[in-house]
Amino acid sequence: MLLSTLAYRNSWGMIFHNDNLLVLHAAILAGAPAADARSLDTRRRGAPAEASWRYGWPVRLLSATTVATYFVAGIAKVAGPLGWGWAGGASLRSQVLADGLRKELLGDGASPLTHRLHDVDWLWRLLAVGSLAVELGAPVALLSPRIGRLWATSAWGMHVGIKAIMGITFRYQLSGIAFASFLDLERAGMRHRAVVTGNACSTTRVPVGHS
Amino acid sequence: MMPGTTIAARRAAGCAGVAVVVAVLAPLGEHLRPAPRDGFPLSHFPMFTARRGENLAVTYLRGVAADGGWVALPYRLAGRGGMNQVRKQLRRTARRPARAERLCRTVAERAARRPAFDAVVRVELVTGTFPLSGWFHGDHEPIAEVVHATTDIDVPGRNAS
Repeated sequence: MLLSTLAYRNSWGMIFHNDNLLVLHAAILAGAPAADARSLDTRRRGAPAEASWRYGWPVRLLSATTVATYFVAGIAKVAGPLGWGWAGGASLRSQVLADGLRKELLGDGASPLTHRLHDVDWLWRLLAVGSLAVELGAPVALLSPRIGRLWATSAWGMHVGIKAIMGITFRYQLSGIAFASFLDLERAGMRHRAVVTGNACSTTRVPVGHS
Repeated sequence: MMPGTTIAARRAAGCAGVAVVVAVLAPLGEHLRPAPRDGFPLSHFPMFTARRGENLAVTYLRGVAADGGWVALPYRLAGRGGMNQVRKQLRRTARRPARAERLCRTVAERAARRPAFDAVVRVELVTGTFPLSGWFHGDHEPIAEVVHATTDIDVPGRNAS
């Protein structure tokens, strides 16, 4: 349903790239036992799901898919007509100014930051290098949970920057949900339950991918 | 779960995972084509990669006041679906004179109902070429301009000269 609805929208005029990751993640979750922890069925059954590898691989796959999309976007920049020259920042500046000019003539105007920063060359260079580092360096996020969290924070920060400078809202990414698979959210939930029930003993993380 | 079933299930999960990642990476092959084509939801994410010049041509709707001043009319007067979608539709419409005239009439009727555009006496569909840096330094004069269609706003009291 989600794919057909968004595919219809993307069939007219232009492709919106902010929905791609949402659709891919939804497809993965649809094929995973994603409702075994909290759902009406689980509530009826009464017994919580036991730890299993079946709950680990979808999380890993969500992370791998996220990383792959950013990596593909990074390759597109250096494989494009500018090559590694993209890192110089001039192209990024031109793209942002072009988007700003269109908004001035068609929409609600360019963001105030575009007006203030359009002449700060070193900043565009820094933003271009940072974007390439986040995108081309995305695969390292799979090396360890700590690096994964660091990368997820950087990627989220990149979207915050895009929102601030261009006014483009990547809702799924900005909400943080797109990067949730890099965080130990289940551990936070276990800690919360331990505090609520007064059980202060330490929680143990079940290694992902092992039964 | 029986051990054999577990192994089979793990293999199936592994194969599905590899298939998903390969599918996401597959659009990289577009870079080998002379004219890469974007897709959804599998994309090679070509945004921000094009080489841009110093100038930009934009097709937009212009509201002209009786004193000759002008204001850019918001895309929402022309259609729904977001700015970029309407922008592309405007560009296509500009290539067909009859459709351009029809759009101008529709936008003129909508603008006439909005107090914010009380000063507007004429609506034009225009393609203007502007210097990118110049615009943000306050130079809003187009380098080149093509007026595709124009419609006077037919409201008593407004005088299109």
